[in-house]
Amino acid sequence: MDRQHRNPFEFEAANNLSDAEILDYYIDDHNYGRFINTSRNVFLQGARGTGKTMALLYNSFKIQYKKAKADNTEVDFTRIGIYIPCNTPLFHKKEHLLFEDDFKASLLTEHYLVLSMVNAIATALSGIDELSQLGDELDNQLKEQMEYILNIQLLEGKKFFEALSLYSQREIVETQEAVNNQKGDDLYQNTLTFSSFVMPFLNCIRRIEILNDTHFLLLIDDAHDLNKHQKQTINSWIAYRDHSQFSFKVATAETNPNFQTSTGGMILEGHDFVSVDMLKPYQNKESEFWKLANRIVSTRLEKYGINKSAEEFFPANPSFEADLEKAREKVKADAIKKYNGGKGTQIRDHVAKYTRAEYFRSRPPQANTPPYSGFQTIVDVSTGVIRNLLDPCYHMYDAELSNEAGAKSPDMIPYNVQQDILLTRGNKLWERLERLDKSDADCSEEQANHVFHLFENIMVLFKARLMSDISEPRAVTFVISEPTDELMSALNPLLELAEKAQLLYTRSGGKHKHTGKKVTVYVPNRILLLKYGLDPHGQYASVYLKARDLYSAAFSNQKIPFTAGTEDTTQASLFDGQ
Amino acid sequence: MSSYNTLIAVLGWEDRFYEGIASDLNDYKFNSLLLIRYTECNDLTKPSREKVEALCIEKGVEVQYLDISDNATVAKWKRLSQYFSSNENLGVSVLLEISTMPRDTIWTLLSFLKEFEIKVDYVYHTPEEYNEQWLSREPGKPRLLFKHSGISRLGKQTALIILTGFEIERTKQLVHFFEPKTTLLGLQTGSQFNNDKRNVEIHESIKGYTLTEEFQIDAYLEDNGCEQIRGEVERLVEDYNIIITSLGPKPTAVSIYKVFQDYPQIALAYVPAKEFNPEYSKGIDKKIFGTFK
Repeated sequence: MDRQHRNPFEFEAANNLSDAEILDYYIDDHNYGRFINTSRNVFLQGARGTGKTMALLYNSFKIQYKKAKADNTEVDFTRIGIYIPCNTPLFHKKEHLLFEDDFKASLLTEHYLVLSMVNAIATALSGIDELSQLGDELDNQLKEQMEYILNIQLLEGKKFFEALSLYSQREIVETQEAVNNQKGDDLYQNTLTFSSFVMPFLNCIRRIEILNDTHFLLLIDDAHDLNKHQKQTINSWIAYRDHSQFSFKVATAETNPNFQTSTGGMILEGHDFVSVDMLKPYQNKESEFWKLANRIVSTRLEKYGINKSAEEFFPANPSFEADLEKAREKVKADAIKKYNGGKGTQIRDHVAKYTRAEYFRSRPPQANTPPYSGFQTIVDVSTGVIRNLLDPCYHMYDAELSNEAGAKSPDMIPYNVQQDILLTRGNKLWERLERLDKSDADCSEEQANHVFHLFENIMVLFKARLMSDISEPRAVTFVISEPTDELMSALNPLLELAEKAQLLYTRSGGKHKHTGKKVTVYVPNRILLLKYGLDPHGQYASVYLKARDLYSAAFSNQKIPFTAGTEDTTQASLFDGQ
Repeated sequence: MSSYNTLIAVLGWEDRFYEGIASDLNDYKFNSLLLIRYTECNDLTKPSREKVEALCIEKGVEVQYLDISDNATVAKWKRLSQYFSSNENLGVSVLLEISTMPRDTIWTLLSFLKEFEIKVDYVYHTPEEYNEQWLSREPGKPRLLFKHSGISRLGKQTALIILTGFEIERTKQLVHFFEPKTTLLGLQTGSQFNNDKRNVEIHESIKGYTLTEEFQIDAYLEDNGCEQIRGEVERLVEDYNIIITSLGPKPTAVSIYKVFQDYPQIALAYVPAKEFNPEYSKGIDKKIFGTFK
């Protein structure tokens, strides 16, 4: 499709992008690549839209090979990443559930996984010039070896990798036909396993000189879509001690993935694998996420011939800038008075901390919603999730394109359009939140009500704090204090539902201000704040909320108690990775 | 008056269940009525069951029940598979009353009935009106039907064909769940039940998540849109792994199954709902009749 008529902020699933688009759009932060290119097993954990697929695809050999060729650099054959998608119809199949015997279910679904894996490896390697030049003798030897091991006949007249790719393709089709047409409880006879197919295959191709020392990175995407047998199978492979030849990089949206192996054991973090949290630190212009967001948006604008910075393309409402300046002057004057001229950075710190709060507080009660606009606000409402960043940008561009009716593509998004879209997208999320049972298979109507009341009351509390003269008025994240087993067993299912629906994100790493123990910080999706006229920018602080108050908010729709002067917050640096 | 050995229906609570059965008993002759009774809806369906039983006594039609849990998908499939392992209970001609039959049940029954050398027709009654507040809620995760999950080819992208219906959230849920490269929205022609407005909203709700195309379908044509569906499947089947689902009028579920018989590589998907509005619809309006085989 002609780029002129496409939206630069499309955010469809990354595995639907072309290779050229992946190379164009991916912003290498030299962070995930570092983890992906190790020989360790890695779990990439993050909600949908946090960039897991893009990171895996970019580090796949197919893309890296094209990149090396385009950059005219040497192709690195010591690390070969093989992308294996799991959100495909193959992995949504349920026929295995019809087996009376769980073992049969496990064998069949491992067979699907193994064929997918071998097909991905063979297909990726069959497209590589350096490997298509294998001499006939070696090619025949490799074919003979696999034919002997598997007791199969590979297609004559085809090179080794293509023949194996075709074999796995034929085998997957035949298996599905057999399974779909089978009446009884018989298992498809020719099931293959990791040790009967993948490992001999990887051993076999070591005979090719440039693959002598290759380490295969098996990039398993959307592992949450695998069934329990397949997850256990992968965990068993992860538990395999020798990682000289292969390792797994498993991307999942599950907050608590199952780490059980097929034999009932467990794989352990630190020992068998490392976890990488895909949610990024964000907040100000110095933060890692702000920089990444800026590069993502700038790159997309550039690719579409729009020579503007992200901040120029998404300008803030000038009245907001002007009013913010007024607030800054007032806060500064107050601070000079309060601190009697001030010492060191006292005045500057005070101004930085309270200017935005003063702006929101001083708005007349009858005023409309704050003029939410500007690239900083768009980054703020993204809550550190790339898809949340692109979603409003996409809709803003789309709206502006419609407004200009047939005219050229927009070269900036007016602040009033930005505001409309931000509020609309925020309200849509509230609509979803209000009826979570309509969109979430695991949420009952009763739970949806509880989640809604919980969020409403948290927002009311945040609003009360913003309007009060307190130490951390703009804090929009929370930590649960005084948890008891009884209260948390009631609250946790609600928090998990909210997290699954991306209404809430969690971060660990903060420390309790009294006990010094690690705490979980709950971060509501910041676009939800707009409906309540809150400041999506937030600040480096979390509010301590008592478990019993959250319980009453959710289950009895009671306001969360707040009296200025008794507030409890933590200023631990929760989002800057320190 | 045409006659059938067996009328098969799923016991429902809507007006159109009872009124539909009454209309069928009036229009055709039957030896027996087989009612699939989903245990989750026992309380809700009690009044209509009593009314239908009374009517069948009056008409001299024997009533049989097949009790199944709708949510226990494996047990449901096995129970139906067992019951329909032979046609001795059915006779040589069957009429499927699909007005209140879940789509996965329609497909499941068709898959078993197609094995027999018997005549299978279907009948659908449109409601006079639908509830404007909500139709169903607490949807389960989208599922591929057992034995109808298609033949997925490795390395192909996914295309999702959705024959859209009233509930915009369902379409959105399917797109988010399967993350297809391309989505084809089959939109019902005409402006009945506010189709035009809703079709725009449906398209809007998935913007940006997937490439989206639309095609028009008329479930009320003689073939219930079968050729329109077939045309789209033919166009995509080489390049994509296709998942297809119907959220629209029930006769399109039969059309999908007819297309599936020619293209067993496509996967049939459905979204189970855990709760339905007791006031789902009111009355019955038009009758749609078709022949499966």
